[in-house]
Amino acid sequence: MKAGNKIPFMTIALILLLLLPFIIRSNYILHLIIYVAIYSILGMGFSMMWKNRLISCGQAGFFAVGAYTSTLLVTRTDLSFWWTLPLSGIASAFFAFIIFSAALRAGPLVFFGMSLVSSFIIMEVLGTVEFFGGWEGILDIPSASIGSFFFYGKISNYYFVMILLILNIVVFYALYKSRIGRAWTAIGSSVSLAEAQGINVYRYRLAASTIACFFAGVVGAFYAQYQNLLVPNSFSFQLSIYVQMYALLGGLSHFIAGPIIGAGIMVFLPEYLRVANEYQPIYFSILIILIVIFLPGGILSIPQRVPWLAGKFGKKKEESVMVNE
Amino acid sequence: MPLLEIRGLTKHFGGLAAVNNLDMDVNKSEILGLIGPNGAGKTTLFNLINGFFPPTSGETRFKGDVISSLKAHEIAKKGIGRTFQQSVLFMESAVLENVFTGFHLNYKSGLLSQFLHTREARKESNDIRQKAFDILEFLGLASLKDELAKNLPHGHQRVLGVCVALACNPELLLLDEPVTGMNPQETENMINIIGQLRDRGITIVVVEHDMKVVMSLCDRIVVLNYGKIISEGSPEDIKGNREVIEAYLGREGAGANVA
Repeated sequence: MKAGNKIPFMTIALILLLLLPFIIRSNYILHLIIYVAIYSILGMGFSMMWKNRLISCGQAGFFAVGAYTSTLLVTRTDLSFWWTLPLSGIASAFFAFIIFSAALRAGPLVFFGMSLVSSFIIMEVLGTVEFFGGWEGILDIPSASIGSFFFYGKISNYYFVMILLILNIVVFYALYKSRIGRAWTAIGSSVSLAEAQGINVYRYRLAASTIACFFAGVVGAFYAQYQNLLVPNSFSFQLSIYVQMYALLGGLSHFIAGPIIGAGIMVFLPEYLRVANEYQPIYFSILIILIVIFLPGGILSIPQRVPWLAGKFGKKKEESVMVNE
Repeated sequence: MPLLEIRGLTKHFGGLAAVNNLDMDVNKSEILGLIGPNGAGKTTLFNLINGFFPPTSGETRFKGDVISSLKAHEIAKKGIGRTFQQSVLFMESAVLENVFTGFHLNYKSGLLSQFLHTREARKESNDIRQKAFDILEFLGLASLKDELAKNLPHGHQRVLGVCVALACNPELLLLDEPVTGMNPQETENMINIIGQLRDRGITIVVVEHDMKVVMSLCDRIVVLNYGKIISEGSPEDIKGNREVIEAYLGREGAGANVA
């Protein structure tokens, strides 16, 4: 069976992830990996909505809601960080639920617009309302701690974010494999046929957006305690667009692996190419245009496009190539 | 009591009445043909029955319950399935997966047990997969079950459309041009399939332009033009009806009933 083949592979991947900090021994690279994990989680949320043919331009906003919820609760009340972790997810999901339950009634185009607008409004509110710390942001956010152990260093935060990432992957995978996931696939391929088969398109789309934003909120809480400071500008619209790019670069039809591969490439490639930071948007734009023209299926579609690679990587790919011809 | 009663159903698109004060009954276990020239309102009528559009006025009743105020997914739950004029399928999915996805309404287990992949949920999935396979076998697509829907020839895609529609256990099946674009052999096959479905107790309304098919298949025919019924009766009655011939051939003076 298929599952039998996957288990050894999974075990090796897990062991590798576990040992990675001791293999790499570079704080800077660990820092980048932590960012890849954060972006992957945001990207997978985007992909979950995309599975329903919804385009979200607001992942940065929901990420911010989570980060600020956790930070405000930790700094203004006595609540432990570990309580705020799920709470920030709930806050973000609640926020998404309110906005999208209205927007989705009017269809996917309004969803697109509302996600875009909400992202701007959230950043603007965080910056201008004094209660949220203003444009200068909130400094000295305490790191998470268990007893006397603090999540200060890169290594502890690496494990923390990896647990979140794996949790996210497992939950998304289970959802995609269930009938909920099949309903999403149905909506993604034909809304009218899905409706004619009795699928409540509105409700399933709302569920997808709420779940996706829940995880964006949770990873926001992680981000706040990892950075120890929050500035509204780090949740700008640009981040939302980057999140879409990660998913696109990896491959939009790969709802879990796509954003991870995309985020990995977009975080590490500039480091090795030594591109100056200010040129990054230009360089990323060119990369995305090239991907859209020459590789619309993303990086993960390469094995399907190159037959001799397909023979080497996985039998499933090979089958679909044969079917295509 | 007829299975489906349509009373005074009207749908305006702007100033145009695509369906105009229509009264129609569909009786249990019949094959009702719906014919008429292009733009007569046949597909609009389907979209009204199946809930894609809300009617401007009038109502439809299915087994006595008013359904014209319901949404498409709720009407599917009541037991009305449909196919589409174009091949509307889950194109990127395999044939079996298409029918399997169509079984959305048949799950009994809760969402949580689905999510956790409990034993019952898995058993249920397997049962439903088996049912999906049975449908494919019944309509002769079993050997193609792993093929992607988009790679099927047109004729098979149309049959798959019927398979998917059957997955929501319809009592009433609306078929929108089931044999359009098919070769004679495929057409023959589709006629057989529709007959078999009726033998299984499914009531069928079929929109079709191919007169030979309509005449040989249907128990009763309703002719629409400009959103109204212009004639109704057995295939023999319709064949000789002057108004029907005029509507199709566009005899001069036939345009008078536009107003």
